[in-house]
Amino acid sequence: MRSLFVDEKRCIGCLACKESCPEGKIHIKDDDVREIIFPSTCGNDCAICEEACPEKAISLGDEKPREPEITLRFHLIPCEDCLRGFITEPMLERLEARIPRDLQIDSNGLSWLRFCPRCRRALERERMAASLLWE
Amino acid sequence: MRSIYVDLTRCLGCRACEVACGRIHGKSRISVAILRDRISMPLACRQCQRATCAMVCPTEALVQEGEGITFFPERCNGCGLCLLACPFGLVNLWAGKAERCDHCMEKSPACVATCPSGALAFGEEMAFAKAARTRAVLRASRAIEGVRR
Amino acid sequence: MTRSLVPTVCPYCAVGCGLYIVVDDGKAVGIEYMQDHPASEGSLCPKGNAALEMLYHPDRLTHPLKRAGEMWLSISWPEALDLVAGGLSKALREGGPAGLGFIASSKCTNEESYLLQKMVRSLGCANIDSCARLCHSSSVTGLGRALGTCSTTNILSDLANSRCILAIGTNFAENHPIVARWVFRAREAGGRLIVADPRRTPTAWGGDLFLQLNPGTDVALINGMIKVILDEGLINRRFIEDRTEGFSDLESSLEGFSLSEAERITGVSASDIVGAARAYARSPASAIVYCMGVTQHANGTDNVQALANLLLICGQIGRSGAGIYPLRGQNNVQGTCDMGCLPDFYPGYLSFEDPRTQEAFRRAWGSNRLPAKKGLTSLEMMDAAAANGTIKAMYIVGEDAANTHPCSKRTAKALGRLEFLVVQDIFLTETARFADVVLPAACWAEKEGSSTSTERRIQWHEKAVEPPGDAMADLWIICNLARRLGLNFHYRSSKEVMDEICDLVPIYRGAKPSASGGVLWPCKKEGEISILHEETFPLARGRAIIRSVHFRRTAEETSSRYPFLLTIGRIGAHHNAGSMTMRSPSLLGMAPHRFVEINPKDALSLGLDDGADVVVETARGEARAKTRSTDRVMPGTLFMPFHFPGANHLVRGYRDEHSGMGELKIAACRIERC
Repeated sequence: MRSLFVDEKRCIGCLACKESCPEGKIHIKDDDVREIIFPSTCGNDCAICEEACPEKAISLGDEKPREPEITLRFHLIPCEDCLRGFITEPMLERLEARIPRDLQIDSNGLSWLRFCPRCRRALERERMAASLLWE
Repeated sequence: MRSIYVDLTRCLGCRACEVACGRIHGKSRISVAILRDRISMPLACRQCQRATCAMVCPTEALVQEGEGITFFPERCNGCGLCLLACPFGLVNLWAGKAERCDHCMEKSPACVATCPSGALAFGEEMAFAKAARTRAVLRASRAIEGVRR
Repeated sequence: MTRSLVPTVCPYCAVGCGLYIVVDDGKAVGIEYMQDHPASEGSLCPKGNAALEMLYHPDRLTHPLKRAGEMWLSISWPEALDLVAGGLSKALREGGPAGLGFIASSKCTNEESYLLQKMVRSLGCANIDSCARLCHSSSVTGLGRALGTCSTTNILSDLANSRCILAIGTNFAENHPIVARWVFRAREAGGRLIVADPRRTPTAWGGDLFLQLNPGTDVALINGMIKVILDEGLINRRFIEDRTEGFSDLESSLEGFSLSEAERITGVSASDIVGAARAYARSPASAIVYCMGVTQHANGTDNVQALANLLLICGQIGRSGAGIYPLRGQNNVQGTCDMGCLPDFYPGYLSFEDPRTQEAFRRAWGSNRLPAKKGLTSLEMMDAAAANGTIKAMYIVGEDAANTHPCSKRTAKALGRLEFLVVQDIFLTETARFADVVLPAACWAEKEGSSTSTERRIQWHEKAVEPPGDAMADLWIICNLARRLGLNFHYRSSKEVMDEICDLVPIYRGAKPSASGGVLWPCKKEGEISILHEETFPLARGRAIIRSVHFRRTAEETSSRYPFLLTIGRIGAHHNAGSMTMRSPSLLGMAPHRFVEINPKDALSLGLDDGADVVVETARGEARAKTRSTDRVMPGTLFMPFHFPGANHLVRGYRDEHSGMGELKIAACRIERC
């Protein structure tokens, strides 16, 4: 039985640990807020979640945990079109840092990063329709 | 470099491509929607030459290689950054891994094979440009006359 | 690991697309495309791509069931077959053969449908029908009388050779998508597409001319076009003189009919009617493609005759690119009709009335009990069962009549009144819930046999996988039942039945249907006949019959209580009563709920948002749905898909006197927020 510790300052609220855990022990609940719920102990021998985390926020050790669960909360930034929360602040910062400035604005001058994937598809269809068809 | 081309005058919005892609890959990588009840537009990975998905991938699972993108599933941890980095919303997460259209591993795209109306085609750009010009000329000759007395 | 590719045919619509089922160790695990298929070139619509999803659904019937009060008891095949034979024999004794009614399945193979009607008629019973009653019965009467055949006159790929295609009452873009493949090739080559439909469907998007006619006014539109063709001298006089009868009657019948009258009735501008008429008449090869929008009316036979009139006066038939295409709805409705599962025709559309037909089958089947008169249609059987109980027992194979018949509450009452009901199906449908005995059947991938597509293509399919549990192929069930009823049905395989069919049924003579492409009927030694009527029409004098028809309103009128017209039809994601597609996750995901299309202007004036919960009510009942605000429908018209049980309850039973078809398309209704 090992204990799990999450460094809140490093976690960006992505899905890596949840998607990688073969036992499905990490849960994510999305609403206006993303809640990531970790069990603070794990009987498995692997270190998959620790390895998967791109920010090295998870560490597995032997100290006794104080609570049975660890919950991290992230505000989900709402999409500028449909207003549904879709991305955490730290993830957005990471994308803005990695993607060149000139690619962050589309041909209509929109900051597409602030739209959710579904609305981005709708926008792309509108863009194609405007440039290819006449109304 | 080959791409999947859509003839928007032929897409029926039937979504056979979605069902076929979903059957093979678990979740469809091609997305069809009807705009203004007048036209249907399928979208799939654009195979960007400056791929933002590859720029943000923390594990180099998605890598820009020349004009295309290569995916190494064993490196993918399912973080979902690529999904949020695609300007067109065309990356999925399925079974813990990122997924995007890779032309059915650059072989014979199922969507193209299955499209009932022949709206989808897979090939080189030049061939399509020529075919499109020919079609435009033929289409111009099809006006229907009305009453002219 | 044994892996094989089994060639077969999609079980859904009647385009008859070929595909390979990938079988791994006895389990169907995938689909491969059949790229050299003559109708589809390997493509499949969304239903075809999802065809395997219903195979292993947990709802599949696996054992014969006997009703015990409110519950079902699982019983053995011998007990089930004894019960069925006993029930049918009892009904025979008490009410004679006229007291039995049978409905054949358009999803059974040709061999199975052939054997079913052979069994029925060998018992002296004439009451056998199929789902065609609800679908293309208007074509059987309409085209049968006008041209002498009821099927597509040319093959689907030949549409690419048309220079003008009139698509009327068909939404092939959603419901027969492969047809679009060939229509678009015609368009590429400079051909024109004219679409006539009260709804602006995806089929209409591709049209050069869209005629948005008022519901139920097809005869007025077509007569309007014919009037233009007569007035402008665009008729094919040579063709009329050499190959038709009845033209002068048509001419004089339209003397009093004007273009402005057509415009007033249909709501289509005179200029568009002229444009359509000229384009159709003048093109070197014009084709008509039609479907339920033409047939599913109480004047459906008239509608079809009107189309026949149009093509005959222009001579647009009997050569490449010119013909008429009734698009059938189910994978083997064409075959099941070809096999005589109709109350007024023997196999091969040989008439009941003809003593030579009677004699031929009496000799061939070795039976002296064949019925002398034609029988009841499926709708008439329900009437008889509901009203005066003359039908005491029914045997229904693969049809969910309780959900698909018009005015389905009456059908439910009929089924409840029967003394004995047997349902043979793959799922426990609404209809099966009324049964005394339910027989579990094997589905399309689980048996071998042939089926005939809408373009007269007889295709063989191999058995790919075993049926679940104790489910058995319909062939086995029918043979075992027939033997218990004293008939000498000893067929060891479907191939043996097909041999008998090829001997006896003129249009199938010489057919050796293969997998991967099949063979067209009529089969001739010289090769496939892809174009019918090149030289003659199989009618008395070898000439096609032009017969005048007048517009008469058979649709319900709107009233202050029911101010909207509801039209009912198909959508691409689902198939008929939904027993298969509602159990296929990909398809259900595309269309999970019943919706009703309403024009945005109407939605606004009624205060209905998109996606509002509403009730649509007619004089027969009501159905709940979510609104879809769209200009596909005209103001004053609504559209609802019929795949979600409850839609056909709303239409009335008013029928076509020639074909027995019900007015399934249109009902007067009101719509209100829930």
